[in-house]
Amino acid sequence: MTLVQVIINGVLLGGVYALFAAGLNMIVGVMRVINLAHGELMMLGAYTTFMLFSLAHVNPLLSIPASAALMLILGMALQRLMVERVVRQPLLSSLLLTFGLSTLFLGVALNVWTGDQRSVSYLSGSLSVGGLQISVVRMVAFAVAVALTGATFLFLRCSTFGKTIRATAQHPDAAQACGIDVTRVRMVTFGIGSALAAAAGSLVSMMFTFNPEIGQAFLPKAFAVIVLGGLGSFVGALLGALVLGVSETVAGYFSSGQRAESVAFVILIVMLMIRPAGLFGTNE
Amino acid sequence: MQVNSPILRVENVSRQFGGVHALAGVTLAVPNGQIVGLIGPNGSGKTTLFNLITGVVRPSSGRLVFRDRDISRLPPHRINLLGIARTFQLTRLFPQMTALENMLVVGREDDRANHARATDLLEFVDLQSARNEYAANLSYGQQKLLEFARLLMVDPSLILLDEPFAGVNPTMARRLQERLETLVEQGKTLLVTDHEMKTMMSICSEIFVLDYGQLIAQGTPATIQSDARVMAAYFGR
Amino acid sequence: MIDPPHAAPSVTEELSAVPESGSGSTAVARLPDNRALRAQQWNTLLPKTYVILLALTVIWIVVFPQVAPLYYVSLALVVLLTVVLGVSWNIISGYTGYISFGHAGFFGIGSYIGALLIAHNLTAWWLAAIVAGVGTALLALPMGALTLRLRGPYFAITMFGLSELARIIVSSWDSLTGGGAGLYLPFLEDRTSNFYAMGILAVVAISVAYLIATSGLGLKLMCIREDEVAAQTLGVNTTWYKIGAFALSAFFPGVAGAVYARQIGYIDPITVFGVIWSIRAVATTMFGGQGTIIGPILGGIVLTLASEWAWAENAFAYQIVFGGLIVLVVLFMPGGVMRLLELRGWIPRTRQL
Repeated sequence: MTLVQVIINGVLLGGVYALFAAGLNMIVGVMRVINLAHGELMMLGAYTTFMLFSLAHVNPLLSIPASAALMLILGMALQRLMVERVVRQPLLSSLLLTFGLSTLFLGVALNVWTGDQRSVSYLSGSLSVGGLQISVVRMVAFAVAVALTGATFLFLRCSTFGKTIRATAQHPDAAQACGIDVTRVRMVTFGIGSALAAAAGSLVSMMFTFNPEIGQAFLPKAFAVIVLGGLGSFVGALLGALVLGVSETVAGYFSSGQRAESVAFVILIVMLMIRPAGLFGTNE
Repeated sequence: MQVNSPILRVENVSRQFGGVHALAGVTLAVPNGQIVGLIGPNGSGKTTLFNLITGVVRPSSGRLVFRDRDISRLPPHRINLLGIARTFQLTRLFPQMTALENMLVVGREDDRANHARATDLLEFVDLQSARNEYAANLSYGQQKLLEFARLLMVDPSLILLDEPFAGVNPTMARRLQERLETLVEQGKTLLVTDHEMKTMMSICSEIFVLDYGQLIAQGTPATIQSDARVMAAYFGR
Repeated sequence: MIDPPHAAPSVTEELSAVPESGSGSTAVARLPDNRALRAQQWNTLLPKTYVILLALTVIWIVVFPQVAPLYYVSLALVVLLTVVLGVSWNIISGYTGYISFGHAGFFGIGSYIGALLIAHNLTAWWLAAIVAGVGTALLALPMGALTLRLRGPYFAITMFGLSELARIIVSSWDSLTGGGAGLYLPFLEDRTSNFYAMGILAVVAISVAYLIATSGLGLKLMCIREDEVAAQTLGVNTTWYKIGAFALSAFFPGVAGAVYARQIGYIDPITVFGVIWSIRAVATTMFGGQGTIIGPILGGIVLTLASEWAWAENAFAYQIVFGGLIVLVVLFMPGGVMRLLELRGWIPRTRQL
């Protein structure tokens, strides 16, 4: 495997990271809640696809709307019933709450599915593109991820409700004064963010073997992406995701899988130390 | 340092936050041992100036000199150790600690001395009876008094008071005025900002006027009251 | 726009000057005067009560392993360990309000320092444990100097990141630590000495916590939690106090990790750096009551026994119990059991409890 191939793999991986981080970015931006359970929502999306695939032979790609819809509902319920209650409290309350939820979901998932590694082997093999071997599943995942991320971006930019969400993110009190039901906006945003995480999970289920702990493994990557690209900046997060993806695959190529694992943490820690507002850090 | 030299000199100080110029080229000298006023419409930079003096924020340019010592880049606790203390516009007490604990925690001597001093100061502001009450549960007026007493624990030479008369009834205001005068008699310097014009004009011996981050006038209360620019700043917009 | 993560005040913070208290609690219970008097009565009785309890605990520590079956001794060891984790976490997170999700890192680092010293026969095991604690505390100093500049949630997440990074470093450093394959320690016939060690550690930790909480030092730490900027403008060198508390909070899990390694006889990065140790510290302290002395002790005992019972039914009970508990505490009883008792007037609000 040449370095170029490794880099391309990294870019493709970055697409999925971008989708995963986009959901978290929205939640953090709109309601200032650092959702530590985001990884578990992704994990549940992965298991949804897995269950549909192994029990009902549903095409994993077609299961994405299902897993997204499920997590949309779960996300909205979580927000309305629990997160909303601590929105007015200092940030640490919601942090602890989502930390607890994350642990709880992990425990439940371990109970239901055990810690065994699972996978969804649907797509395999590689395609020859310009002399390079590109993994088919990664290409498809990348395409889907970018499409969904792009669609979300357009939704936020152009649609009425998207603008409502952005207004709430920028200034909740002013938005409320303009007649926006900010409670509903928060609920829907959390739902959409969770749905995006679930979609990312479905894609991940096709790309890697996984068990309930995958959420915990992926969460730091979302944070790394967001601090790299700047809180609230969609384009920044996309670029951050690509940087992370490539850094990981290159690190893995030159040293070991473990060093690759550490890239997200190193980025996260370094960025928080030196440039907490990220590379872009604008409000979008 | 000579007896009559200013205790604090603000030299061409500016502070920007992003694109906003909170303060632009302000130069003033706070005379020693007096009550000095700082007035101006909302947003004129008064609190920013307080933040700069106490080290909570750094100046973008310019210098702050306290008793011939450049304090522009010192951290807040060092500045307090040198002798500057302040209150905040919205009182910043330690809510889950009692009034007495609020006092004790900032004391610098041994336990006994701290306790004695805290008791005396609570007495000074008539808060002895509430000493075991949690700061969060005190009334608005009591909280302001506690914050005021607390800063006296460290025996500062320059005291910055941010709107000490806001929301305070006339009786309490008079008592507060008496206490301020007592402090001046003890040789302290007070820099006060407030919107209570009548009180300000009566207690301050000199007044600085800020508007949009710039110093537009300074002088005695009489001079200020008849200054056209000051009128314009408050009413002319 | 989200407030930037650094602890230095932002424009919005200063211009609005509304302090953000770390524990997220609402108004403090209003105590009528006779209760304030009762509080003072408690304050004179409590130190004597503590001394008695201390003596009883020491007796129990000595006697228990001699009379109880091995299973219960091991369980009691875990209880003591959890109490140590909670009490030490409380020193930084409960008192200063800097909530950390990386406590497991200290446990893991101490574990490896101790295990390496013991495995290579470099020193007596109990000395190895102390060195492990001191070593962890020393490492915590520069860590804290860097991370304690961050505000609330960012500090929490960064500490988690550092804990994971520590795990990865230990795991990669094959030559020293044996990497992912783990480390074996010499076989131990009689494990009672571990129980004594953990017992002494718990007693010391609780005593230190008591001394801090009831002294001026405790007030200084608490005022950091209450309003750090105001404290600074009143001459409190909050950086020093934060870092000091942080290093102290690292000592105890460091020692505990070393004793744990000796007890189990085998450690690997995933086990000793596992996030479950952080979760134990957080959940038990939050349940019992952050910022109190009894809180982490109560939480440690109750939760360890509860999850042990649940584990008998279900292998993955830990996460469900601890996770669910954190959720319940945040939503319905912030401040934990101690706060609940205080609001109902059963106990006075005092730093002695």
